[in-house]
Amino acid sequence: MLRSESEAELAFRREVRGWFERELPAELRDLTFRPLPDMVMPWYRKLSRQGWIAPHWPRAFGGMDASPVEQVILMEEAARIGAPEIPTQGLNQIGPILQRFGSDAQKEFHLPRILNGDAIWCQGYSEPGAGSDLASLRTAGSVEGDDVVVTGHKIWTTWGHHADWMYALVRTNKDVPKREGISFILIDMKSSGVLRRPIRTLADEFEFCEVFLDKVRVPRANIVGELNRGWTVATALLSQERLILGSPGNALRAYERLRRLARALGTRLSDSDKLMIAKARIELETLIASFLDAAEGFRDGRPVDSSYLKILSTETTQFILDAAQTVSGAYAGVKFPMDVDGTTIDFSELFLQSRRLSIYGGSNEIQRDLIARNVLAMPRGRA
Amino acid sequence: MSEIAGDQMLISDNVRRLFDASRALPRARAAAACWPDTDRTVLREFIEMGWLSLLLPEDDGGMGASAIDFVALIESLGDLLLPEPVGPMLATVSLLAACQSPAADRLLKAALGDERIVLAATEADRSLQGDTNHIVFDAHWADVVVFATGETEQFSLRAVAKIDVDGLDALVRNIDGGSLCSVRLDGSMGEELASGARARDIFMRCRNMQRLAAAASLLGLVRKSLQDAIDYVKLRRQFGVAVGSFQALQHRAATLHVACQSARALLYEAARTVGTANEAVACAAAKVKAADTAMAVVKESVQFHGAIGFSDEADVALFFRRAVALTAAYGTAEACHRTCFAG
Repeated sequence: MLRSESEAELAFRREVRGWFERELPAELRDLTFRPLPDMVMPWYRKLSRQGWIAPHWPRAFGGMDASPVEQVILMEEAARIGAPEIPTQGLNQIGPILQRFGSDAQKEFHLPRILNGDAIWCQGYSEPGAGSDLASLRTAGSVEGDDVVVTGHKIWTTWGHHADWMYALVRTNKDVPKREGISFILIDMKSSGVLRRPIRTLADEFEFCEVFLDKVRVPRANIVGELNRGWTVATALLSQERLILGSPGNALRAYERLRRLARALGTRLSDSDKLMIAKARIELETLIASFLDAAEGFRDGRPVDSSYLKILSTETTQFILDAAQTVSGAYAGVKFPMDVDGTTIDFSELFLQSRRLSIYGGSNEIQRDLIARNVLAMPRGRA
Repeated sequence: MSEIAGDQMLISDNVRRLFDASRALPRARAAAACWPDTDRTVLREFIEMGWLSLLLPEDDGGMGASAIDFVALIESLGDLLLPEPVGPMLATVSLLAACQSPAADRLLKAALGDERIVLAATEADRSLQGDTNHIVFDAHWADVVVFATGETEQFSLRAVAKIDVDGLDALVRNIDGGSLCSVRLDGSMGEELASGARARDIFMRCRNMQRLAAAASLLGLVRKSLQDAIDYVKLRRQFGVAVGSFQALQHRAATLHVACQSARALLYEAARTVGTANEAVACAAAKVKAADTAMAVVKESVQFHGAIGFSDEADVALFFRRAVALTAAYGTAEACHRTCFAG
């Protein structure tokens, strides 16, 4: 962050740095993959007890209500120490949506479980035939008494195989225009009829899975908002999600990798390496400035051009990791992290993982369509 | 992000009126025919209004504007493509005030009183006309040039009258009607304004403000250029539809929008850092980001217009040429990248 910090902000940074250094176990540092729940959830709970698990949540819901600068400080310090990626679907997506659209019972039950790490969430949106064209989804729910009975097939579900709960879009009325017959439903993954199959990714990990739902009975009380009004909830969620996706957390992690690589190479850095590093830094600072601007604007009631942020943050992270690939030279394809003069360097893992960023959360092509139409007021395209 | 507001809005409106926005682009186009344009009528009025003291502290009779105000003003004038080097002049006047020496005070008084136009040389960017040469942009406007020589304790901030420098009238013409001039300046020339580490800080502040001003001008002009291009593709019809309905253009327009928004956020973030530890890195980053963004926008603006975009008659030609000239001026990509890597 380029901005100079106030006394209070500097004190907060010192506090965070000291606490991370004391509390983050060595085996959880500098991991490239998101650790499995057994390994990462104790750290999640520790952050929760410290009160730092939900920096962007309002205090009323148990969050930190952190300023945008404090949020960046937390992200910078997490990147610096090499803190592991924690599950974020609950904190960043369904948590905020329940705060806005959930019933009192839903808020009371779910929000504390998200905060204290008792529930891991996944998002049940994409289907084999419904990706960018999300509203054409076919997973169907029929109301039977106090239940909705759900049958269908979700796929590319991040951490679905580890999740306790799924928030899903389900078609509950087939006889109306497609966006008007969708409900937003919370599904307990332990329900009978839920079958999960992990999918190996390009990065040779199991980040996502497919989920088969076979006559899963879900209480009607688990519908968020009204029956058949789920599209409103989902699109509101998408905006919120994209503000979070605009956060520089991933880019900071990526830049920290590049910095370590530069440190390890030392005097062996070429002029063209230095140019790549300078460019990566400029892109990173551009993202941080844009996040601060948008988040401060959001706080002051200015609308957020969230598509712009989603594109910026994901492509910035990819740019930094592309630069790291170039600087890695002959080692760019090395599979596992290696020790280079006492520093552990990951060459390919984060880079491979970064390819998903421009696809999930509404692909960057969809975001560009939205900007062209909604921000630049360009005429609706021919299909 | 700071929107232009309050006093700066007032100044901006008045400055736009003064420079006659309706005549601005014809004037930029005419600069090709009657070069160089050094008509001081408007500039004199700018000075008479007291606007040159924008960045000076209120206690010294200045307007006490912040770097953010400065950036907002310059950005708001960017689309006028003024030949007058308003941003660099404001930065140089601010430098003179910071020196607090009799020589600098005399020069400051003369500058504010419209006798002498003072501009600062940039650091000795790789000159093609001698290794140790300084480059002075828009030297055709200057009566006096401020420059720096020497390292550390020998660092000397000096001012020299244009007529006392061989070659300061040997202008190299830029494609936008501006100029650059590469001259040999050394410690025997002119008079000293300040010396040592303090002088270096003052000079670096001026350099950073020049970079900010260039970035602000660039982002001001590309906002207009991008809007023009988008308006054009909404009107232009081929195959029975507006060409702006094609996704091939829409996605590129969206990409440019992202670049402009984010470069602007960085520009204002950089303005906030003036006077703090990260000032040099932030201003260098803002300049190079604005320049990259501007070049992407003007190139695509030409392409969006099709053949007419390649004609001198289209305004986009003017934006294009100014973007090229400003990209090269006040902090090259190479110099700015070096600052960013070192910081």
